[in-house]
Amino acid sequence: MWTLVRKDLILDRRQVALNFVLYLVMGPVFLSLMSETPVKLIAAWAAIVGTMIPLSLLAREDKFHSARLTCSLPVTRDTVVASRFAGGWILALSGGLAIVAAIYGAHQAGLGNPVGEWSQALLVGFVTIGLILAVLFPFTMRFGFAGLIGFLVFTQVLGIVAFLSVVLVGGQGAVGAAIGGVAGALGALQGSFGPVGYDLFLLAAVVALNVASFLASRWIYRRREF
Amino acid sequence: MDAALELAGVAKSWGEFVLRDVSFRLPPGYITGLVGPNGAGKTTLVKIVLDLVRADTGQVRVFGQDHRSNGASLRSRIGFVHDRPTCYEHLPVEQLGSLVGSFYATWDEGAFRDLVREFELPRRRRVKALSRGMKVKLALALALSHGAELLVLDEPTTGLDPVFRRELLERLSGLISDGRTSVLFSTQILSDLERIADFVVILRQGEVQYEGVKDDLLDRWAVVRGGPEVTSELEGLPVRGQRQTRMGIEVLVEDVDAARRRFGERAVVERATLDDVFLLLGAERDGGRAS
Repeated sequence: MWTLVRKDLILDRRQVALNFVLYLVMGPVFLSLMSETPVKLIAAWAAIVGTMIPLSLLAREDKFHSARLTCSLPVTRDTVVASRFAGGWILALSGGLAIVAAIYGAHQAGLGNPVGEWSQALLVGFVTIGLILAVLFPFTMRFGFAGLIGFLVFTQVLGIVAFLSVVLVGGQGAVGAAIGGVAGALGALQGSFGPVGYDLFLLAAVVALNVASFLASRWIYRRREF
Repeated sequence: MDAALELAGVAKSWGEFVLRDVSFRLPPGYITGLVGPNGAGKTTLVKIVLDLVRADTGQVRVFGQDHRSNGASLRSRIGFVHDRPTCYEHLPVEQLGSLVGSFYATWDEGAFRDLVREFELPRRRRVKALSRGMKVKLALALALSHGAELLVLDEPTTGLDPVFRRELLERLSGLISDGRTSVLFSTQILSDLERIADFVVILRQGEVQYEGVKDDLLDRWAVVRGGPEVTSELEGLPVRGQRQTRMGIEVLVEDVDAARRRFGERAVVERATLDDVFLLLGAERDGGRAS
């Protein structure tokens, strides 16, 4: 599996390096533009941006039609999927951590005014990365580059629809209720589990979601034809 | 001894394309040529062997083992060239070799370098900047650098210059002389088959029309050329196809001696070439093909 991860990193090294540099610069800039930024928001943003780093790696083989070569090599389809998960997680996590570290460093140097506990950033970042990757992997395994673009377009359209529903048809109630419902449910869980139990629950939920995503991706990739 | 490759009742439907009941066996130490017109199913069959496409039914065995249940291990013993050579296009030739080689326990970096030099490939040029012929050469260099026991080559000679094509065919003939290396290669260039293949599989419209020893075919089969009266004298002969030409009629017969006895001097009876067989096999007089 690590030979495949290494292969993906070699093939995508320029894109990955470019994304790293871009986001490491963007982080402190983002912080300097906002006052009283909650650390959890910074972490969520860093995680979202972090998951952008491996995107080109996930869809590269479809874009350049090289999956046929990879699947002709002495590796199983399951190993290919496992390597994508490993590569995706490694890059997203290291990217998210590096961005948070850059922002923290910038803050220590006197930039911006983040509020909240930095220790919370790790959990928020991990959960955010886990949610995005778990949804994204089956799409890219099934549809490759088109799946990736489709996923990104879908999330954009979802945001636009939510925005328009608020602005044009007064859907603020519905959108607000949905967000409030999720927040309420999480709050209720936190209340019943306690802070530590709640954190563990979130971690376990994200891990379970990713295991399900991995199994689904594997099932999908085994059936793909090149 | 287990066959290097054995297909039994392989079928695949894909939209309008249908591959029906394909069966053949490639013994170790031999070359099998897979020949057929465009759309006959050659590439699909090669992809099924490499497990890039799943057969709907049937069984593929490589070195006596099911090709899916032990795929990774079996593929380490297979060298391949795809019809459209797909590589990691952004890498230089040399780096691609090292990268692909890292997947094979038996990779011989020295052999790869020698082949790159021999094939006159520019080591530092990116793959995407290579011509199609050069990409085929590169794919061949990759396929030949890990001691593969089975080479699966999909139209490897297409796009190659005649000199290199001949060298490649000689190399393939040399490879099988060890008695353990086998080659399956698909082509539309019948002269390539005539030169090196031991066995021939003719595929047309997804069906195997002929499968057997090439020399048997060339020794036993005949083409009868004559006027329209020839058709009235075909009864009892093993006719495998015929077609109307501007000059008269051409008939493919499976028994050259029987055809000579039957027609004597009244028609031209010649041993069939692979071109003749490919053209006439299954053809009906009106230009159609027997189903």
